[in-house]
Amino acid sequence: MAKKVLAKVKLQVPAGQANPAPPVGPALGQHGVNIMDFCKSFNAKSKDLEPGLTTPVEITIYSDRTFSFIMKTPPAAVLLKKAAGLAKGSASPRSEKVGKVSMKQVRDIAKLKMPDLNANDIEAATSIVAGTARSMGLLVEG
Amino acid sequence: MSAAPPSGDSDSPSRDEAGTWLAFRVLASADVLSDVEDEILALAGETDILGTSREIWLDPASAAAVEGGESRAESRAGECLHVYLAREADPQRVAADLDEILEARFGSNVRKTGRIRIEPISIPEEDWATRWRDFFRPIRVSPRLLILPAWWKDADTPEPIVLRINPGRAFGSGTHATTRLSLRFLERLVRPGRSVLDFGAGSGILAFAARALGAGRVVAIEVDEDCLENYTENARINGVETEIDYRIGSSERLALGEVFDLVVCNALFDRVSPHFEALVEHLVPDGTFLYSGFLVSESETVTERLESLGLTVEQRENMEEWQAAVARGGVEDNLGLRTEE
Repeated sequence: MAKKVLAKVKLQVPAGQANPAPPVGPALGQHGVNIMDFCKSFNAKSKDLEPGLTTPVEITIYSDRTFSFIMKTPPAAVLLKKAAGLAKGSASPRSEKVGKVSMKQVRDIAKLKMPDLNANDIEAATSIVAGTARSMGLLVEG
Repeated sequence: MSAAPPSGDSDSPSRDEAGTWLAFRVLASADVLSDVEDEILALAGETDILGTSREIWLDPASAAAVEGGESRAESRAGECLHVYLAREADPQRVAADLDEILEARFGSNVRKTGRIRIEPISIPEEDWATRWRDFFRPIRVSPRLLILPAWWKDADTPEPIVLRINPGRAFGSGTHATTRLSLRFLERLVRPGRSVLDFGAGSGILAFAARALGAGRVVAIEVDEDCLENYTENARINGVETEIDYRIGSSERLALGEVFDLVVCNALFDRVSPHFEALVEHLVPDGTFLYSGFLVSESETVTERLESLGLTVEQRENMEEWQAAVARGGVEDNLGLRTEE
């Protein structure tokens, strides 16, 4: 018999560095998940990513408090900021450009994000990521 | 244990209030929440935002039970976003940052129309790592070995070996596959009177099992000193506090010539692999090295590493996506002063 799903929680956790502090603690603790088990599993599975890279994870919690999770690619905005060497996006992206990224960087990010984007091909994915870049106040060059 | 709900509402988040974490709860329709989440995460790391959690309650009845019958608006609405702030955060500044970024994305009147509502909340500090203990149930590891919650009354069990665990901050409650794999192998590998080293001992569960299975000298080493309190409590519950030598530190806590018949280690490969040389030096010739804590996908890397140290992998077992391996070997000239009990 399939186990009954109690809740789904989406979290952003630094790769390889999950610990019981927020957001992991309160988000999972309130549903009765064994947090130390989650941290061990997440850190094992994210060990090949750049340590500390923001990694979205979607956790399904079952009624017996067991859980499963899937990791997604880091948010496009996080990757774009890294590519542009920026700490922060623009507060008024239309008037103020705070940095630039090359078309190649955008395409690389699109390739990485492809599994999680609603895009049929790399061209469509690239245009989604380029749109995110512009909405953050980044100039896309090339 | 505190029965307080995880998120207690307050009028305004106060700064540096002892034992309290600050957060914002964002309420909006599901599609808008996705966009809000993206925008906020673009901010994370540069402001005092630690991260977010997005919760979808699929079963309001169970949700109400978890909350101790307490009804929360978002449980019924189905979805909300929590934005967690760092300890030292200035909530006013983060709120201003949030306003700025949401207005840039959704227009200047987005808050006024109620499309997105942001409420400050404070979350009482509690030991989240132990909150799940309400759901901790007996674990039948094998026909001989049973793990019981420390507070479990029912002692009438067919298993001859019962370990009692009060789960806490230290890893090793028996729920994780790597712990169960290690326990099952220990059951087969521990010989009466022989010495055992548990490296990365956490709660001490594997050391307790080794002792219960008849091991003689048992040494447990753990690098995280926060584990000591939980270990001490569990050792007392199992009546083995004087029988296990628990040391905080790493392989440097092993004395020259201190050797073991069996070394067991349940820890992530990247963390523990640098200590393998040292561990093998403390293994008797033809000793047993039981390693768990790695994914099946890492099996080849682990095998190569163990074999590079002169060990031969003899057995493996998988559980869920995890694996445990039993290797044999040990150096001949390790100045081994084999100690018999």
